Amino acid sequence: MSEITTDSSANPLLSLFLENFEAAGGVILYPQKGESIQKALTHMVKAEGVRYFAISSDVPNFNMVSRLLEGLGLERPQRYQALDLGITRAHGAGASTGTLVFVFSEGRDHLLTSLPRVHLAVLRREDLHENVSHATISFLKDPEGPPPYVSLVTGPSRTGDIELTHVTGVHGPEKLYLVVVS
Amino acid sequence: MRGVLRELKEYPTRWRQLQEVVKNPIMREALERAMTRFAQGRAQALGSLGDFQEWVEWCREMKDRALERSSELWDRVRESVESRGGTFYLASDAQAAREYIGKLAQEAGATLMVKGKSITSEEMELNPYLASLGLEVVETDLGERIIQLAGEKPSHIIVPAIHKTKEEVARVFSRAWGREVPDDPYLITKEVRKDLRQKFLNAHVGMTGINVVSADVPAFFLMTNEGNGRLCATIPNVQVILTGWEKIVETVEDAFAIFDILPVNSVGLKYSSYLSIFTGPFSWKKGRQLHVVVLDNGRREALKDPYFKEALRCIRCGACMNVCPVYKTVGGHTFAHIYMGGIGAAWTAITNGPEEAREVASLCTGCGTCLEVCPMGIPIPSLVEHVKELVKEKGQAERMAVRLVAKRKLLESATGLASMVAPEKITKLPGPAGIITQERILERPQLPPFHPWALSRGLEIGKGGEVTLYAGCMVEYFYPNISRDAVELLTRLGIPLQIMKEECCGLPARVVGDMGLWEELEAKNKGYMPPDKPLLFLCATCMSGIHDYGEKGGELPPLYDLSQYLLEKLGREPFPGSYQARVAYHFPCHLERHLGIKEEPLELLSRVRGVELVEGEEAHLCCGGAGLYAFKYPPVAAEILKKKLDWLENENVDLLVTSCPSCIMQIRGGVQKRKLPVKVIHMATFLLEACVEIHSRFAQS
Repeated sequence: MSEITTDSSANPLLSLFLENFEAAGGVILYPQKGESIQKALTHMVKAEGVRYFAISSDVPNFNMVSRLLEGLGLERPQRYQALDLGITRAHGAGASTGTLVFVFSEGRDHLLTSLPRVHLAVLRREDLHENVSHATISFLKDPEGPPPYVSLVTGPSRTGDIELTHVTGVHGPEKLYLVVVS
Repeated sequence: MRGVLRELKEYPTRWRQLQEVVKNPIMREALERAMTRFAQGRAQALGSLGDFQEWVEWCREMKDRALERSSELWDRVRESVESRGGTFYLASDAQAAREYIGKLAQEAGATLMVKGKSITSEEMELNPYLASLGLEVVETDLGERIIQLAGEKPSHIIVPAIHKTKEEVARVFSRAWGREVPDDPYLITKEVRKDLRQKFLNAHVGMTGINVVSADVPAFFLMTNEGNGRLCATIPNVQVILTGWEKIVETVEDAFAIFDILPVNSVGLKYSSYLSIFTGPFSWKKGRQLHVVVLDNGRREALKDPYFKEALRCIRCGACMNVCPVYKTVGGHTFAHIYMGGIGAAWTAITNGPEEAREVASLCTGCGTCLEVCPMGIPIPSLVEHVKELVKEKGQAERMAVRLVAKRKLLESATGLASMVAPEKITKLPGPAGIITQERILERPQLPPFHPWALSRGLEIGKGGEVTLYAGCMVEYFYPNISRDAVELLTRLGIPLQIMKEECCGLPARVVGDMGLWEELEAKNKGYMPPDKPLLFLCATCMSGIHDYGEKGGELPPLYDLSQYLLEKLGREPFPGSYQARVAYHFPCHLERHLGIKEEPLELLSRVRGVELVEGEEAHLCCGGAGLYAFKYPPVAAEILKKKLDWLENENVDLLVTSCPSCIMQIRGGVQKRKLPVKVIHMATFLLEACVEIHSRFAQS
């Protein structure tokens, strides 16, 4: 993966996105000052106590990430239910709300975003738009026809249904991590 | 007449029920906390959207355009869904929709259905029907699940179980699972996650409601925060989308605009966690099906109704409830049929008929606080009035009361008699009516009425003044001193005054749905108004009523509240008088929200030397008086007033000034019952006293 600058002033759109992504409760794994992607990933899976993971073949640098996690002793589960961590590519993002766009046509990648306790999204910087609507509408207006399911995600799963107490991880991921690559 | 008597007999029971509701501390506290947080969150988050009123204009036009073309837009959606392999069913009513979904489930061999939050499904009473077919239906939104297991109804559109404490919630799950569940929201949530995860994975059918449907690219938009909606929609083999006919918009851009405003306006959230967009069957595994069920159930008929058509714009953000004084006082169990609050009255009328909606409509004070926060510009109070208009056999007692009050001769005799035989202050009414004086004192009407006095003072009808004074019934017969003070004040300021022959403005008739009487009074007053002189009001309600005469076209003279008129006269000069006191102003609902007069009263008060102005959001809260409302639902009216009284007490206010005799009656009654050292007076009285500087006498008394 090519390194990208952590100096947000150099890219106001990216810095706006990262700010809103964090404000919505997401955690930025990379870029972070002074830490490589490998190191950040290693820290995260240890801190989260991840045992079972799955990664979409759609993720940039799929092989590198897979090897790294396997090297750390992580396993692929027999059943999706056992997943601790799902890693998928975000196909777009909207900076003004810190929203990630996931586009699904077939296959089981969507399960990696909705079932595990921890979801790690990998976004290519060139897929970042100012508004999530811009980031999404191009997919919906695809001349080949719209994908059957587009999922926009802004932060982790949350509720305030019991005495307005904020709790994350109701039915979706409790933690949403992000890696931005260029 | 028999109907009137029957209704009167029912009132004490209703009063006792309401009394119990408003005295429920858990519900009140929970509602208060939630509403305050949502309203504050909204206020903070709204800034990011730019000018709210521009949004309202834009949203209203966008949605009206779509509703106008809705048949054509739905045709397009149907075609697209079917061509992509889904099915599409337009259900004419609730029964047809229930049966269709039941059949779908049976044909799929389903024994378990998981369900996202859908008020449309509640409207059609789907769950009990499916249960009768032997299908297990599991609500997956945490709040809805709590309610479902507790066997209750939602009390708030966004947080359905807001009325339950964490201890109660823990008990609900302990009972359901047959083991002890800790009363910790985090731990409960995690347990529910585990429990429902099995349901998601085992269910044959997953059903969700839908927030918006776009037509240019036919797509269904579903918003949730918990992530239950997308699991319902994507995990089971059979996906059912249930949506109301009104959810359609023209373009995906329009749909996205709704999601820019919806979470912000609803709870102050910038964007919801999950927005899931479906365009056809999502065939990630073999045999997945998509079924779209669109419910009409009165919606297309409502499109033809000039009033109810407006309610179809509703995006169910719930902001109107978060600010509603009645909702905050009685909650969503009482102030609801299926749909809650004032907008709920209109929606219940659309889907279940106006008879069912009448009781809910009756609880609305018409304060119009909802008008300030509705992103779709829905005139909720007018819709509530329309519901009352449609149901002739209910509300007979209040219509009779208004008919009597609108007869000036009768009112004159009655108030004249009362002013002779009643004590100066009525602290306790006998029998069940005692509830009216439980938290307020009633004052006896004053004598003489305004018009005879004014004529004896040489004021003339339609002649000799630069401005015409419209006193209104309450000032005329209950508080004629207000109009006398106004005459003194304007005379001192050198403003020549004339009066007019008057009838009741008609607004009380309109709010009880008596449009015949409203139109009759309108015609009479229009005939009496001197067209060439500004019309000056001492009652915000009358001014608002007469302002609405203009809706039917035709010229009205310029209308002025006293503060507006005097400010115009003063130009940039200070008011020629002084008053040393901590003064607060109560904004009558009709003045601020129906007429949009927001600045002038405070500006005028600040021009009076010595006035220490006490401002606060409480100045803008409805007092609960609302004309006859305080007599119809005394427990609710008294609870609504409490916040204002607390404010006056905490801020050590000496004087509360306002511009509506009905508000004066309500607030003064409460102040006196609580024995607060606060004088509640009309703007005219205050200014006159400031003019003649007799206020020192007040200070001594």
